Amino acid sequence: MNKKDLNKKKGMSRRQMLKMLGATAATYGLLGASSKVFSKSAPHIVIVGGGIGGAAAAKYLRLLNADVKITLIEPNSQYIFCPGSNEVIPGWITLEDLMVTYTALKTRYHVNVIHDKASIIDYDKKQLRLEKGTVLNYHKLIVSPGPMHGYHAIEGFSKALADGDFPSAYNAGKQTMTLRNQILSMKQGGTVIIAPPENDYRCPPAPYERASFIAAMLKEKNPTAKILILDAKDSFVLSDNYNFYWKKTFGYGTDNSMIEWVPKKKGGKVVKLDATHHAVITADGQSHKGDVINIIPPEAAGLFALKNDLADTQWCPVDFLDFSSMRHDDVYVIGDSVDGAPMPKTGYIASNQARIVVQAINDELHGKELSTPFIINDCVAMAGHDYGMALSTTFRYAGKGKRLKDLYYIPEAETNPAKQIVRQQVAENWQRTFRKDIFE
Amino acid sequence: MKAFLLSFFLIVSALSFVNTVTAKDIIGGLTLKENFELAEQYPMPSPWLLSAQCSACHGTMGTEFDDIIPPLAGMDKQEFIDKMQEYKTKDANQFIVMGIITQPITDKEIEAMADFFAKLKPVSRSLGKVPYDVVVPDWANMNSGAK
Ligand SMILES: Cc1cc2nc3c(=O)[nH]c(=O)nc-3n(C[C@H](O)[C@H](O)[C@H](O)COP(=O)(O)OP(=O)(O)OC[C@H]3O[C@@H](n4cnc5c(N)ncnc54)[C@H](O)[C@@H]3O)c2cc1C
Repeated sequence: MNKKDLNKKKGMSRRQMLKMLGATAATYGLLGASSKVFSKSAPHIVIVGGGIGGAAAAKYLRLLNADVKITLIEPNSQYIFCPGSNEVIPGWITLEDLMVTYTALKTRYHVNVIHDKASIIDYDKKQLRLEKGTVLNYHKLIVSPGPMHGYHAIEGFSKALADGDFPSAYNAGKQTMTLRNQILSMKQGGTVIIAPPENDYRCPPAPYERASFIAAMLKEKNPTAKILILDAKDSFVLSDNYNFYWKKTFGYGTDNSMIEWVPKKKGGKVVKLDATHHAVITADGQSHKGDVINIIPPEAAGLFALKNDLADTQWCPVDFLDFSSMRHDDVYVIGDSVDGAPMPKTGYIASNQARIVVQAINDELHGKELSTPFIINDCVAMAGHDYGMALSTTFRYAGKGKRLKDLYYIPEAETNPAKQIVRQQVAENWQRTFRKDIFE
Repeated sequence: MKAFLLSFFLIVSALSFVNTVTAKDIIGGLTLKENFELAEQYPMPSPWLLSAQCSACHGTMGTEFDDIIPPLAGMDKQEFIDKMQEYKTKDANQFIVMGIITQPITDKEIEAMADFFAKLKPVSRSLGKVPYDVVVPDWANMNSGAK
């Protein structure tokens, strides 16, 4: 009897069985499902994207409603938080510290997590097709695919180059580590170029927080090195705080400054990458050589949203009462993909948009009138181990068809060292609590 | 470690009383007056939604106490109101957010949140890992939409 027959006799091999189980389960949309059984008539809420917006939606919907079927589509088996990922560059924390899995969502919140990519929405049939072929029927669809990074907006740049020698590191992961390693091994007195995009992009202060952390790293290991920020904007948020800290710590504004910031109007906007010569070209035609080049390209709504006609031009328009799409029924869009101005694109906001959506869906299921939306954003950022800050904004409902109205508060630079440290500790505390709030 | 954290918490509390608003803070968007007019004009957001806005810092429905940001679940109603009003009217703690974020919130909203958190299972306000119940059935009922 050969091996094959042996298996036959004993039944299926473990591998065959798993394969079959997987296939059947996927067909019925049960892959990764927990043991809880939902009624056949239970409404099915499908969520695309297991990042901050999507995971928050899954968890908070379950908190409100024990009976709906919730399916979350996410290609990766783990999520790495972007908040905190700048701290990985100087090695203050590791990527592992920012990693979470979908276990709690599956087992604790009875969310059916399918590790696949969502592909096409059939709006008439209310069906979502996944890349591997599964088709899911949905009552409501929540879309939170994050942004698309427009590498090609910079001539000569591409995703392949970003995955290779020119990391953008604007999605926490392998590129973050490449950037760290490149800076660590950079020659003495070398130049790091950081090129932040024009507005809007995720986490507006992050490129400047990154510059601060890299400067702290270089001050120790490579004190004659320079950081050149070539900006596609003429101003940036929390600049008073960063300027204050940079002056105090890195001689900013003097000839010896480790950091130089070039605004758009002074030729800061990078339009081209010359990969062969390790240089970037700005709009005024000037070439800048960099030993490490970190271009953060402009963004648009996630590819899934663009492909499925949820965006009008760059972002997805929504009704701010409940974040339902303005373009298609029974679909909601949240997170970085939304045309949400004056809301900035932050994880904090993505999670609070998620709470509005799931409450609206739950209220609708219960035949209740929808609640008025309200959003808080406390965007915490750091300049160093010893300096934190928070930009606080509330967003109020201003009537049908109107955008939410903001009331914002940007603190001036904090000169009291005790307060600087408390703010930094609050920022760290927030990151830890936030990861748990979304994924545990 | 705990002693360190505790002393840290005390520093935060102490610092909050020596704080003043300075001219260079940038405040924009709606004025407070316009903000309160909008709040008057439209129904109040649900107590659940208002309270859920605190989760990102205070843990899921205010149930986390990790280091220096305290839990809210189970907090006495009057204590919550007093604390929030102190932040709101005296700019206390302004440098770590609460004195700022309370400014646009109406008294009615503060009371709704106080009610909401007071009804949740209390969370130990001592430092350490704070457990919480996953699905609190009452949350669904408390989620009364605007009238
Ligand atoms: C360096 C940096 C620092 C930051 N710091 C902060 C901070 O301190 N505070 C803060 O609030 N925010 C911060 N942010 C911003 C925050 O990370 C984003 O605003 C937030 O992640 C947006 O959530 P999202 O759900 O829209 O997208 P994401 O969190 O990016 O999630 C999108 C998910 O969708 C999945 N996906 C994409 N396409 C598909 C598809 N077709 N099918 C299925 N799944 C799909 C992706 O795999 C991903 O998991 C920072 C960002 C960066 C880059």
